[in-house]
This record gives sequence, structure tokens and C-alpha cells, in this order.
Amino acid sequence: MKSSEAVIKLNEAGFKAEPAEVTRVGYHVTVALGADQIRPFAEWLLSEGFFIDFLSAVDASPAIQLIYQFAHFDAPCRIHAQVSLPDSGAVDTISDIYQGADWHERETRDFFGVVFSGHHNLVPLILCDEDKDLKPLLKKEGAKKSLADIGLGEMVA
Amino acid sequence: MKEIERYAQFLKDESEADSTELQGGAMNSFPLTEQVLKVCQANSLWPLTFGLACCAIEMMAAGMARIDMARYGAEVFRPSARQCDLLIVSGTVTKKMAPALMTLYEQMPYPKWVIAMGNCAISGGPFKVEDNYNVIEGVDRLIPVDVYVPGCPPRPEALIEGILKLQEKIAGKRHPWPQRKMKDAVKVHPIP
Repeated sequence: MKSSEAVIKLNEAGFKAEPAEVTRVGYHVTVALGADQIRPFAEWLLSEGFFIDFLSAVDASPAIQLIYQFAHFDAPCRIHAQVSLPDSGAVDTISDIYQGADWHERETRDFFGVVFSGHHNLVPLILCDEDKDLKPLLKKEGAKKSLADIGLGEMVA
Repeated sequence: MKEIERYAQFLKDESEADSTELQGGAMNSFPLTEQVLKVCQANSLWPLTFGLACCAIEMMAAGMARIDMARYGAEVFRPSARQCDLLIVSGTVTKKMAPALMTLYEQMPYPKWVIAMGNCAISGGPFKVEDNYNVIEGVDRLIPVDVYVPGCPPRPEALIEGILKLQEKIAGKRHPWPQRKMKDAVKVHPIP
């Protein structure tokens, strides 16, 4: 799927997608998602033949941003989706839709403390036992940057 | 941290144990036997096949044909801790790896020696920063270390020098076994 086509199709399916400047940011399409849209979004991508590249998080002000990236085998089309973590600190898992997300969701739980509700095996993965609730990649209050400063500001749903 | 306490307990047990027993028992009461044993030990160090990070690549290079640490009797990398007497800590020791490393050290029979290879194993190296949460800042917090080989990573020649230093420590002099004296006519191939 070409990236221009993907933007149109995503918007038709009800997701807020925009083309991005790929030579600057490295992905073709940006999608701003609400926390409740993650599972429909993943199901749509799977039906269109996309694969998951990675899933991680960024600790910024005002809220932790979850970053999902997907790509396609047929044509260069990399999709960057961003979700603001709701106050509950939990979002739905997509590990039953994309099995590849399993590992990344566990890693994100280790490093940022994000809970993926519905995950079948959300146990500590990388950190040692005594540090399993350390959340080492959370920033200190003074060190947090705003979303605009790290180039993710335009994409909040 | 649990592993630090485990090392403290190890040191306590060591100091309480009868030290002559650990060093080979009655054989050591004969000075010549003792010296022969030490020369033998120094000239056949068997390292554990154990790599932790990029330093392990240099360690492998030191074992291969171009550098060839077999020239100093230290090439027999063993995959089992019970057959080894040298632990080369080649790389970053993380908190998660620490218990496994200590178990391997404890599984090696006496007499045994440890080389801390590279800046990570010596002091934490580039990971010794304020925000470090997962790297042990120096493997000598977990196990006793005999020789430190600095570098990031050290070249294979540096590791060989570390092994020569260890031989010196074990047998009391550098090159405990007589080295072959080359005649002028014999072409010596330097390491390129």
C-alpha cells in the first residue's frame, strides 16, 4: 500500500492520519490515536497487511506517549501512531492481534510502568527481580520536556 | 543488593576456612613440589568460555590463529566451570547477570583466578554515570579479581599481557617456563 493511499484509507476508517515528511522524521504517515482506538486500529492494520515494527513509550510533559510503528512489505509505507497515556495508566493490549507486540509491551511495562490490560503474560522481562518496579526510563519532574520540544506535539488526538 | 551480601558472606567463609587446605594440602609442605605445581598451573591456564560484551570479541581474537594465546598455554577454553581455573570477565556485568556470574565463579574448583577485562568489568566504564541503574560498577564488588586489563576494549595483546602478569603472580616470575631463544637466522613473525 502506498503511503498516500494509506492516509486516505485511514481517514475513511475513522483514524486521524496525516502524511509526514519522511526524509526528516523517517516515517510516511502519522496517526493520532485515542486510547480506546488502539485495538480497532491494530485490527485494521492487520487486515491491510501491515506488520508491527516496534512499540515503546516516551516520558514527556503532560503525559507519557505510547509510540507504535507499523510498516508494509509491498511498498514503502511506515506508519507512526501515538497515544497519550490516560490517567488510569493502562491501555488495551494488542498482543493478541500482533503477537510481535507481546515482547515490546512487557518491555514497556518494565521501563515505564505502563499497564497493558488484557495482556496474557505481563510479567517482568528485562530488569532483575529486585528492580522489577523501578521504571528506570521515567524522567525526573524537572527533566521532562514538552511534546512540542521533542517534535511530537502536533500529534495528540 | 543481594549479590554484594553474597560476596561478603563468601569472603567471611574464605577467611574462616583453613587456608592451607585450599592451597593443595600436604603437598605444599615441600617447597620444590610447590614450585613445580605453580609453574604447571601458570603454564596451563584453562579459561572459561564466557563472554559478556564486546571485550569477548577481543578475547576470541586472542584465542584464534593470528594472535594465538596458546603460545602461553592459555588457549583451552572450557565450556564447563568445573574444568576451568581462569575466569575472564570480558564485558559489562549487569545486575541481572550478577548472580549467574557469581554462581559460575563458585562452580570453578580451586585454585582459580579472575581477570577483569575492559573498563566495564574494572569500574563500570562508560556506564558509571549518575543515572546508571543496572550495571555493576566493577566486578570486584562480586568476586575477587587478580589482574585488571584496562581498555575499551583492550586489544588481544593486552589480554595476553594480562595472562603473562597472572603467570607472574602465580609462579613468582615472568615466563616461569624457559622461553625458546630464537637464533638470529630464524625469522620471527611479529603480530601484524
